[in-house]
Amino acid sequence: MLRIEHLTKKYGEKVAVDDLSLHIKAGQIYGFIGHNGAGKTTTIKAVCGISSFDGGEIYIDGVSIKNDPIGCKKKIAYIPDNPDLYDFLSGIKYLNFIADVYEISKSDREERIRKYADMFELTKDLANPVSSYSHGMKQKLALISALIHSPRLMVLDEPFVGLDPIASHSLKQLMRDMCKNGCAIFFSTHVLEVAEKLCDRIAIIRNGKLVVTGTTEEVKGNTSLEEVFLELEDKDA
Amino acid sequence: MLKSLIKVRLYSLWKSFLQIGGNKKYVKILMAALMLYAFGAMFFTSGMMYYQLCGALVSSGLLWLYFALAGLSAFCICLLGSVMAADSQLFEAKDNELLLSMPIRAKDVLISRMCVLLTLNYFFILLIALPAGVVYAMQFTVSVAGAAIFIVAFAVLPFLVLPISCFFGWLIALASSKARLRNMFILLFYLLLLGFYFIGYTRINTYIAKIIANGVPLAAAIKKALPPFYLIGNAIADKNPLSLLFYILCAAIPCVLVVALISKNYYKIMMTSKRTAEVKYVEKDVRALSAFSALTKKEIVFFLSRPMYIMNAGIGLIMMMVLVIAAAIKGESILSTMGVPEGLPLGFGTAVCVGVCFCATMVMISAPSVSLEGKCIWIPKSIPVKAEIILRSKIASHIAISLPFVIVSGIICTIAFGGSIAEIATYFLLPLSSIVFGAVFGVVINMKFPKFDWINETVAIKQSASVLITMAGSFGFVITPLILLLYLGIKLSDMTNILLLLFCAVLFIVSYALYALLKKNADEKFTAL
Repeated sequence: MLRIEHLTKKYGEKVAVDDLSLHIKAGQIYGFIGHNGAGKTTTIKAVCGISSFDGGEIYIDGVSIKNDPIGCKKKIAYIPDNPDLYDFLSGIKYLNFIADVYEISKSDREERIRKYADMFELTKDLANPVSSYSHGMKQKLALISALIHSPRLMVLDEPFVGLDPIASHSLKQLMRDMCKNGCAIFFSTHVLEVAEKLCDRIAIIRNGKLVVTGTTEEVKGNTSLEEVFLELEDKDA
Repeated sequence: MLKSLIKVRLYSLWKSFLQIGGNKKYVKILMAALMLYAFGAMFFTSGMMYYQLCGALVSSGLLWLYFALAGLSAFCICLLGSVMAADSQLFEAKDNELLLSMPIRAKDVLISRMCVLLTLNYFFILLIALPAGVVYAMQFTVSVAGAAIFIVAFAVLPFLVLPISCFFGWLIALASSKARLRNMFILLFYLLLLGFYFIGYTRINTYIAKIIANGVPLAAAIKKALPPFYLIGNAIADKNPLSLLFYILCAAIPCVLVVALISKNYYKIMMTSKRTAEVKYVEKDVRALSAFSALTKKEIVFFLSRPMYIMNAGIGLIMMMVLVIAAAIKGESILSTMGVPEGLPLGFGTAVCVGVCFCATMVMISAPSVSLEGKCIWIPKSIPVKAEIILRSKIASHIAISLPFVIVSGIICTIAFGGSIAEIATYFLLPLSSIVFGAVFGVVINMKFPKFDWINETVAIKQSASVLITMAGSFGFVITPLILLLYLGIKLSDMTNILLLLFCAVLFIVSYALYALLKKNADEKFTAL
């Protein structure tokens, strides 16, 4: 579903992502872990076609994002680490705006908005302006808007930040259900316990370079993911 | 602690000025030059006003009235200029809660924020009151004592303004507990401001003549009704230290009282819930729109939700209506008010239409539209829509918002002034071509000079390089050729309207060429933003 080949991204002289390669298959939940400034968000933004990259290739369902960005974006749902949304719209108007942009039919959007707004307990707040939402409510709205077009690949940057325990549980369940239906999920997180329990595969990035990748069991071995991560950090330090 | 807070506040004020030119050095220099020109023009305009007053009032033995009027003008401008700042700095500042959670006295937070208001007011005083002193010094001998009292009197003036701007700022903050009411309140405030400005600007010569003719009764009225301004005038004109002292007390006592009152209640004011009334969600039937329509609608909704955007970027539309309605009611006498020379071999309707076209070049809706995506830029970048469509929606919203004004102004011109087919076509096509050009040119320039690192939208709307360049460009590409064409038209007598229609065609062609340029590699350019 997502193939990243030798991805390189530079900001001036600084190499933010250095020759990174990953392959995420349909039905997999792939966790992306790294310290602050490791290159996680840069990689995620390149995958979603939000920022350009200097070297390598990114394929979504076999299609290069460079060659067909619009086709690729139709299959992707992206949620940024900080859900800055159009705060001058109400929640429902924002969702309808996204549905229009993704060309979702009237009946499909109504059904999906109802389903996911109920799931994340946001229905009663949909008529209120986004500017009145808390961080968690904005995160929930961003999640609903990401699900509105039934994406094949979900790319999430720190999706659990700001969510209450119930919404967090619902999201984890939803991620598992989506993967069962052939979707792929690639997400970054600092919450290693979540990654350990949720992910089929894990990649650890440090200073733009991929240092470890494999199934969750392979990566953590007999210890915890936290210990592996701290060990790797110590080694490099 | 207070010193550090003041330093941070003033630094952020300085940064907001520095942000104007973005990061490119040549743009910074260009913007600095443009700003210097604008400030110089304001200084010169004030100076011209005082020049007319100075000699006449001095010869009537009313020197104190001259300085009192300088004080009154500066007071009004400071008040109008700082009310909104009082709201945003004192009551709506985003970091208020953070600062109040720290071991900092509320009074220190308040005083540091008031320093920003005082600095802004000193800036206005430099532009409005200083010319009064300069004009007087150019015509009469100035003693050291007189100059010193002048400096002290105007240095104290911002403290006289402060309590009143704080009161109005608090009123706006109070209205902000309901978002819709806040927008309406701010819009109304700006419209009033604009109305006062227009009245003042168009009738300034009449007012000056009236002041000179009725100096004595006016002086008596000011002395009776506005004692602080009499004291300013008297202190400077008669070098009277007692008047200066009373005036300082007039400014200081309310200021100290207001600081004490607000600082005592600052926590309470800040902690009062500003949550807007909840709206109950009821599922409604929605109509699916195309991506282009949805994006255009979003742009229009955004424009209408921001009074600051409406008043700054849409000011040309309001001026357009004011001009056409005033011309229809007042007839040709409006030309002399506007300073248009008499005897132009040009239909009155066409002359008004050229004025409307001038107003249309001041519509700046599209010029900051890319920058205004700000932190939400990830949304248009991540959606499966070509950048060309996103940019086209910004152009379309500019045109869609302006079109009703263009049509109404054309209809009023047709009904009120009539004319040949060429003249009627000019009433509609000249403003429209100018609007279309401004819409496309604004987006082209904003793509070249985007600004996403703003904290307050006002920076993108009022102070960005994109807006200033678009404004200067529209003036250069539309108004300058138009003046040249009118001159040529006058030489060729009856050809004016034909030439103007040809000019419209050229503007449409140039707009299309600019749009084609914008479309070229739009996806790559948009991703690179």
